[in-house]
Amino acid sequence: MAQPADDSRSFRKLYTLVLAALALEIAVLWVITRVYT
Amino acid sequence: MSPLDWLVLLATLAAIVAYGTLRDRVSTMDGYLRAGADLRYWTIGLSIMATQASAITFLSVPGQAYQDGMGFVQFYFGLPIAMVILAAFIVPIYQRLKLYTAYEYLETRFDRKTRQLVAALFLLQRGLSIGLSIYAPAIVLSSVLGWRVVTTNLALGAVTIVYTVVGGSRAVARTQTLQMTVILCGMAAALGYAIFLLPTDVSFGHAVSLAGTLGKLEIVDPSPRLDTRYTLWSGLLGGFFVALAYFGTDQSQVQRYLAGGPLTESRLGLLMHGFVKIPMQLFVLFVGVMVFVFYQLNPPPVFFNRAELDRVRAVAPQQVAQLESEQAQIFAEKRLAITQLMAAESLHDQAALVGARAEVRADEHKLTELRARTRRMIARVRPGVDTKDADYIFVRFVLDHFPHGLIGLLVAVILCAAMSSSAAALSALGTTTVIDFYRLSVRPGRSDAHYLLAARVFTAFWGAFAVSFAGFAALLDNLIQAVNILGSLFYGPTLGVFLLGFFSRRVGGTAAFAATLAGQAIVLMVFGFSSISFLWYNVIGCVAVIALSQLVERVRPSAAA
Repeated sequence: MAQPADDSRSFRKLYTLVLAALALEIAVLWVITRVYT
Repeated sequence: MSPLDWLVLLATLAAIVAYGTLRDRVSTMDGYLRAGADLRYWTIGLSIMATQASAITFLSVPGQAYQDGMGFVQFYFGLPIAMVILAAFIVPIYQRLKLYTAYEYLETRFDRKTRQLVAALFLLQRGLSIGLSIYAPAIVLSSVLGWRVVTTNLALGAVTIVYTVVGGSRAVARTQTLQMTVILCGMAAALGYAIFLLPTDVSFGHAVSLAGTLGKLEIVDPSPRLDTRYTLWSGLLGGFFVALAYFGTDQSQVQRYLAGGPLTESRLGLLMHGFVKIPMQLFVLFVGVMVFVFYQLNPPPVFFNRAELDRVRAVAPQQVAQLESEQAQIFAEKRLAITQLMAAESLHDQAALVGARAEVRADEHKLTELRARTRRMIARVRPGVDTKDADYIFVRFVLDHFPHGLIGLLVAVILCAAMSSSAAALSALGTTTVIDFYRLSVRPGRSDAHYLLAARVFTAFWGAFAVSFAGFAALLDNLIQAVNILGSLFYGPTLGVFLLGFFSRRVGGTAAFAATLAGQAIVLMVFGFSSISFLWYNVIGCVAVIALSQLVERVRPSAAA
């Protein structure tokens, strides 16, 4: 597997941010679902 | 549509096409096929979004939320994960090899026959689906606006073909940034106006609560059922495979981010998409939920495809009148129950709230039954016609209740979406035909100018093919489903062979080629002989190719492995 040439710390932070946003979105939508079921 | 609507529509479309085609002159193959590889990340991000968002998205998704609630958003749960994988591991490989098409990578890693097999699968799948993505909005707009289907097809196709052939990938990306801006502004205006249309005694909070009472806010379904189309798990796993296949191996998307020169711009464009896709989809679905709430407070038609209902009325006027009278009665009862529900909510009266909720749900159930009876009656009176009207809900709502000017903008949104996704597909089809077949096997070793001309000719050819195919699309039962299933039939095996390339050192060209063919056959058999939801085809096809390649490699090891 090729290693990215510029896989800097800032990009790793961005990846974490995107995945954290996904987890937060699912959690919020799950709560909305529970409230209205 | 009024003259003001026409003015808004034509001015918007003309400005976009002029901006895309006249700003730059393209004179090299690199400029034409990869936009010169110097686009910034926001152009790439918007271009990726616009390529994925077809007109079907804006016609169907609000209708889907109206009927089934917002659960469809789960389909996109795997997308951000796929964007991270692509940005971290796959884009650097493509950028390092300075590719025009994703399929070139397969020759670098395996052999030419594997490259051309997968490129041919792309041409087949994308060539067929582009016809459908032009036809689907054309049929809906023709029906509600009284335009002729053939004329709409030709006009939509001709405009898209002209700017794609003239400006290539650069014009596609430039027009897409404007198209996406128009789309987002149009949908925001639609949501704002739908909220504005709420009666003065109904607050936004009441509207959301009513949608929740009627099950439209049941968004996350954690059940492990394989035959339920959208669940948390099919979204995370199936959606991840679809997104990885679509964004990582479909040339219409790969071409978008290969247009970013430095690696950073391509990666940021993909991550931007991963960040905003779910909120954007929730936003479009929420527009549908607000349309649903509107029709809880105002009488809906018994059938949203008015042109078809008028034809049925001409044949069976009494039956239609009977259904409309029944609906009016149930609606009046439900409207009263909704008023009681809101009063109970305001007074925090729990006992009254429970009773009013049960009443509203019971009345809604009666209306759903009545809609089903209407569809059965239409099928009896006019056998063979499409009795599904979900795709007409949003556009009917806009035409019946929005002010002039805003109607023109919303029709422009649908046309912009149709043009942006079709243009990206045309450009990708032309590029793949030239790079993976024409330059490789038909006329190798010619000049840059020769291939630039060939790319223009093939892009025009695929445009003409798409418009012609759109003429035959009426023969298919359900267009939206056809587009979704068509993609899923081919993505799994394609993703499988790419993942083999990226992550396996053992497998050689012959094993990859044989496993791709066999994996494709397995997916077609699953489609033909099982009731498994189409999202799982992607997982099945991908796993089948990876497993079979290991088997073939063991039985007949390749020299390269």
